[in-house]
Amino acid sequence: MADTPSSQQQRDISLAPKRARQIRENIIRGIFLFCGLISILTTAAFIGVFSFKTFNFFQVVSIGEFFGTTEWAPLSFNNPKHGIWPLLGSTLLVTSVAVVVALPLGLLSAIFLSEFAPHRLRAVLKPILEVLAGIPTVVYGFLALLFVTPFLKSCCFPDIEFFNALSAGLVMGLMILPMVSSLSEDAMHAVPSSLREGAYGVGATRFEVALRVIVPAALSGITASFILAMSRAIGETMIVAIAMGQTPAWPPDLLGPGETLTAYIVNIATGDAEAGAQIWDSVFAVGMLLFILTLTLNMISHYIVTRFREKYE
Amino acid sequence: MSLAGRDPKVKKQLNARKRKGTLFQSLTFFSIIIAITALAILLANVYQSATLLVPIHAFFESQGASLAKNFITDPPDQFDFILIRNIDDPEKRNEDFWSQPQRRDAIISFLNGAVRTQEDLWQAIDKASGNELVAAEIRWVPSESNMFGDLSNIKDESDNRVVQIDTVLSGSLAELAGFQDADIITHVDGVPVWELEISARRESKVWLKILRKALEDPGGDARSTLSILRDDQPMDLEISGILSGEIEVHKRPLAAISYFISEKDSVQGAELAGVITAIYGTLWIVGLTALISFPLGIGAAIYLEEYAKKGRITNIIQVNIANLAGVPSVVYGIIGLEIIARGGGLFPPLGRTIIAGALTLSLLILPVIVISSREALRAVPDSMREAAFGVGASRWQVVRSHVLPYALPGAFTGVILALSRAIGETAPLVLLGAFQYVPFVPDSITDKFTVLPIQIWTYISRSGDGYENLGSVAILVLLVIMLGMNAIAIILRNRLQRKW
Repeated sequence: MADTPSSQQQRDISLAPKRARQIRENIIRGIFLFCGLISILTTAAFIGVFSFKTFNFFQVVSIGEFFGTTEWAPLSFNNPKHGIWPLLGSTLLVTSVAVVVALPLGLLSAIFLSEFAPHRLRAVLKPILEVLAGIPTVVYGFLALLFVTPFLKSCCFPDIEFFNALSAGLVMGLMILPMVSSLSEDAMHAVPSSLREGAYGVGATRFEVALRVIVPAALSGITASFILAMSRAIGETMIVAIAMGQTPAWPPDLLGPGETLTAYIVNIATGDAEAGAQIWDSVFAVGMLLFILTLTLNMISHYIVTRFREKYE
Repeated sequence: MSLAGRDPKVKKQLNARKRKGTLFQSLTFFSIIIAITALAILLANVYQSATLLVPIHAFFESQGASLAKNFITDPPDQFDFILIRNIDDPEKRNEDFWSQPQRRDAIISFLNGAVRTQEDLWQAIDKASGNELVAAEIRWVPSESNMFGDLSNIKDESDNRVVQIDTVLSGSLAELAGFQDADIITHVDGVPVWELEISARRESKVWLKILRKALEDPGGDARSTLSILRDDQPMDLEISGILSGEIEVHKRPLAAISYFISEKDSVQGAELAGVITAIYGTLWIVGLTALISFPLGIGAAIYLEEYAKKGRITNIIQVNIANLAGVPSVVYGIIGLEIIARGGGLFPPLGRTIIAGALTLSLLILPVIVISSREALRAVPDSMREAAFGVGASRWQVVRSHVLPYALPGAFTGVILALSRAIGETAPLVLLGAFQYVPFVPDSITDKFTVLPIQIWTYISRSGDGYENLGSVAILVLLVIMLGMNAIAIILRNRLQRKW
């Protein structure tokens, strides 16, 4: 149909509000896109700043010294030492203690919640665990320093020092336990009940179903929860900064003070380090290491969940 | 009869299996109980520790004894600023407090006729506090003669009051104060009133409210006498003669705790300090964080759920957000300090202020808010959207009138939970504003700040009796705020979320 003046006019009339509407839609879309891009910008800032500062740091300190030596004394005026192992060692030590506490307790709790707990008890326990997961970490640090350490001193380790890795690790285990149990429980809950019923059908007891059927079926989720909890423990700051002290030690001592990666960051940043000072660059190098460690663990956990998940139906 | 019933071998085996099962079941049960009990015990310790600190300030002086001690340099037991612990406990009354005859004599002589014996005193206290009262306050207001008996040298002809300044001010403070005519700020009933500023120490002002109050209001409320001690003043005052007493008897621990909640921070002693500055700081920071992060977070979620085509960019944003959620909070603190507080050479530095803290926390919880808001948006069924598109609505109209109203309760829940996490976050804020001594309530976004978690750490690090108890008080406040927010989130979820 040919364009007659009247139909042309009509189209103009109908287009005018449409165009305005289109513009408005695009603006709104742009606003939302901007919100979405903030996360990218944050990451870009993270990577940019950290890479730049870490690069600066390694202009002064060789990578060989950083990873090859075991003395960390960056504040020394005459002879600063930058061997990362005391910090890394303390971090790993505390994380191990936490993991030793949290993994068995967390897994068993999850099995109880998922397989044994009566419905009502589960409805009570699960929210309690979730609330425990939300307790601020500074509170855990406070508990470790003022209650757990004196308790350990009076009951088992008379030689334990005021700041020590053991109580920090134990309390940290308590902190990551809800995370382990909640995520593992989710994984076990997701195992289809047909598997359970099949196992019961061939005469398995509840114990056998739980341990031989459900746990293996949910293993990828359970492992992922372990790794996530480890990543959380490595990145945890306040507990170690409060209860473990800020004295680098090599080799790491379970009953004595130590300084973790995170505690070092807090230690320097709360001091008077100027922006641009060498010591401030070292914070970025340590932060970068922490960033890479936790990111790697998170990615492994993500990979395990997506790659090894048992698929049903 | 079952097979098990007949064959003893099978029966035995079955029983063994059952026993194993029961054992394992109780093991799992105990593991969860151990975890919860351990924390319950620890938190009970916190509560107990919080109630140990009783904000009772009884100021006494026995005749001739010098009370003028510097709070900071001298050990507290040298100072007759008496902290009465456990006054609620009848047995401890005698042991802790009355064991020192000097103190007993002091209070009795101080009361000067109002109460003559120890029994009278406790009777008065009991009578005043009763069973219903949460807290009782007994004030002993000295008689006029008692108040002015020693104040000589300043003689007001009109009413024959004799005021001796040397008794009021002694030691270094008297030298510093150096009463001069120029310092007279007013006359009350013809009696001169001085106001002196001592700037030589701690940059803090020492207003001689004691003297002023005493002259203004003899026989009146003695509370202002205490107020000078509660402010952050040096304690070289010798306040004999005009000192009044005040005992707050707390029948219930909660009353003691509420006292500490309403006081400002102080380095003079835990009994004088409180956490109100930290509470305000927390409210400021969390309020601002909510204002910043909620629109941004839900905007990002709307983009990802409603606008974005499934493609590479969307995918990158998604993975990115998931990864950001796993970054340790202390790393956010470094970024916050470098880029937000110090400007990083790109932006105007905001300093270690409330707004810098709120921006840092916003970055920290943004991924969590985006993730939970997306869940909420996803829960709105597509049929709602399709119906709206079907009648010609634009995308924004669909989002605004059909998706958001149903998704908001869920999103709010996520935001509140994220904020309750932000309240407890210490590490990033410690990097921004640790150990700042903030004895004032902030009133703008560019003020210095302290928040409850930081205050807790500050109290742990501060030497001196009682600060750890004060830390326990702060922990209780923090936990109550956090649990309250969680409860609100749960109520919101239950009441407003609809099922499709």
